[in-house]
Amino acid sequence: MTRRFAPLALLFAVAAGALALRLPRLALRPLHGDEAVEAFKTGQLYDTGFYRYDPHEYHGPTLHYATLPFLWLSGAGSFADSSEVTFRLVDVAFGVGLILLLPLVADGLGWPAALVAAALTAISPAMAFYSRYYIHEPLLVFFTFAAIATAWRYTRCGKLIWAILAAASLALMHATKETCVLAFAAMSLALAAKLGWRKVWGEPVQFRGFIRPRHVAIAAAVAIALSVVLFSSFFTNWRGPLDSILTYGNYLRRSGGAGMHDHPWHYYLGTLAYARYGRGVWWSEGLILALAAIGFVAALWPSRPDAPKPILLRFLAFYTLFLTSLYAAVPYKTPWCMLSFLHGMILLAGVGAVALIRLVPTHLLKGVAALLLAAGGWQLAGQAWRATLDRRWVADTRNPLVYAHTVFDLLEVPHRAEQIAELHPQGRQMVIKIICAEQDYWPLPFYLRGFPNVGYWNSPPPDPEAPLIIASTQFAEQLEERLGDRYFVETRGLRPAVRLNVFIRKDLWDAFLARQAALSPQP
Amino acid sequence: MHRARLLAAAILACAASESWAGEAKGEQKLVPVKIEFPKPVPIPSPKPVTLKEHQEAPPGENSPLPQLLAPEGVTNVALKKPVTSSDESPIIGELAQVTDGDKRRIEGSYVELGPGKQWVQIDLKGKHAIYGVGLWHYRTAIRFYHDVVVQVADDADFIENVRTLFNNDYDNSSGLGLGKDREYMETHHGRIIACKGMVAGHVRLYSRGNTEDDMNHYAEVEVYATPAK
Repeated sequence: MTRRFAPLALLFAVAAGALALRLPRLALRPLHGDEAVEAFKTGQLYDTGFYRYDPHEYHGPTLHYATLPFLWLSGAGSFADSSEVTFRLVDVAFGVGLILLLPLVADGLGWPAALVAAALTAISPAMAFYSRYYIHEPLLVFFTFAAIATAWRYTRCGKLIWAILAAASLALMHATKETCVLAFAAMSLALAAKLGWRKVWGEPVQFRGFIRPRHVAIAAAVAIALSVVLFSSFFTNWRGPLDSILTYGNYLRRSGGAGMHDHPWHYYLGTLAYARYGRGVWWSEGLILALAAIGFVAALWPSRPDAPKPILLRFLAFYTLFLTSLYAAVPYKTPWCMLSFLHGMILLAGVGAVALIRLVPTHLLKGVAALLLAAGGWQLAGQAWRATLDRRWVADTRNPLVYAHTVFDLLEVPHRAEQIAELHPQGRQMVIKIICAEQDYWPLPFYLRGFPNVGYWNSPPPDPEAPLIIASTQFAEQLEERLGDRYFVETRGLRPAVRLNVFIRKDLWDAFLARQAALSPQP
Repeated sequence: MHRARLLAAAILACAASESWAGEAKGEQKLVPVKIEFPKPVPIPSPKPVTLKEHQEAPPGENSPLPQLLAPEGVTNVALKKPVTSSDESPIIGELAQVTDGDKRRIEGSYVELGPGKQWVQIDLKGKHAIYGVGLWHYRTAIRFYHDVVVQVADDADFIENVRTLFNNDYDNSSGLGLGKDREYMETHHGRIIACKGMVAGHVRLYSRGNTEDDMNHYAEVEVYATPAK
């Protein structure tokens, strides 16, 4: 009994460790613009019950619907009462959920490899960092792994429930993010390659009785039903399921290149391997890359004729290789997209670590190798801590996981709005005008969610006056000319090298200064 | 350019008037302190700056270097003196770089402290009559550091006899008082803050990020003083 439950106990301990990196100070890092957009859409859903799948932007509905229980449990009466912590908790849950899925594949990986993979999932800087980010990736990776793990269980026992769960996971991948097609393609190619590999090594291939058509039909029906329910916004938008297919035309055009998010093929691998900017600290998940490479070889190396065939390992090896290649080939790259193939690498790294230890002769040398791996893991955990919990790095451009991120200085804008509202006769009901070209004002709508009278313009309106005006610096001259000296102006950062001017009506500014002077320490 | 010249002239006029006043009272004769300014290095592709009410115009290309008048014998007593900080493990560099005499605008000549309100403090190792403080942040881009506050005190904990020499915290966001000085753009001129022989043993300099990023940088701090009698 003890032998059976010891690995599970260890796994839960690792999951607790993962929580230690993911749960604390979830509001530490300012919201990225993308996080704020998604939170805003979820907020609309929470307040009004309205959600429509948009085939052009914002990805699928699972993130928004998955957040609702967290909002209910948080006790927030409305979006205005919610906090970024509640939203980010969703990704924390799915990020840690990845570890809790591992027992489903432990007989395919081997428990030691599964436990190493659990530890690496917990301490991977990228995994930890983006599990604290209100975006779709942690959900996509979770559902992807759930699909693989439950399909694996189905191949082991042939029970209908696993087929249904696998199909539901595939549907949820689809309902999470359009990049699921890359995982679908990698899975299909990996299955084909795995079979081809067996042929190459002269191993028998048998399909009969492996998959039951009745199970496939039922599972497919469940998947389609689930997809329709989510994309139709619970039967209120029948265009949604169709849009969920047509969207690929939009994303295909966008992924083709010549955009601001285009990067060379080696961008992801380079980011994971080594990054150091100027005299800043260095970052590397090279340990995972190296162990994954060893795991890849170990998975494909022809086993002894009498040994059980590493079916799952081979699939994971090919799946990870194809998925990494596909993501590298797409010019459009944002660093959080790495999570999909990084998770495959982490599973292989677990296998690689165990293979490495087994390869080393004598118990003493095995112990030394284990200690070296542990030291590497400790260093990785240190990087994860730095990336997620050290205020100096969580939004710093020299952290390779930080991408077009909101600077801390932006938090001064909602703070200033609160300070001015306290002095305005209408309080938070005061009008705030935000004038930014191409809607380049996110995440401000999230941070100003407690102000009901905020208006947005893409260029200066005929009457720009308001108690508080927040505008792109490109409109500085136009606005200053029209507003004259009736405003005090200060500049705040939005993202690196992107700034906003905050115009505060002079009477309110003077009242604010008088209050601040009264608060000044007396000499 | 015109504003910068006026500013420089005003500084010189002020300093001169203090000097004359001192002589009239029979006090020590004031002479310019020898300050070594770093070489001006043009900022690559600078964006146009629209100055705000709380920001002062940067010096022009031909503006004279700032001058500090003090009694003869006044030197930089901060050189190689121990430095402490609110950020004990800087992101880049070491705290000793604040007083190492290297104020060049190159990689490796500055220390970077974490985001938000941070301070560095110099222990002058005994009470000194301070006539001025020179301050150079980091100037690879157009940067205005926020909430620059310079204080001196008798004790290291800044409890006894704390005096503020400079404060450009225009909204008291750092909680050290509403500043009357204006934010200034980092140039090779740095900021030379005059004070009339204030006696203190410790100098503390605050800042709260800058217009480029949330970090706080120090290339050099100099304290022009003589040991207090």
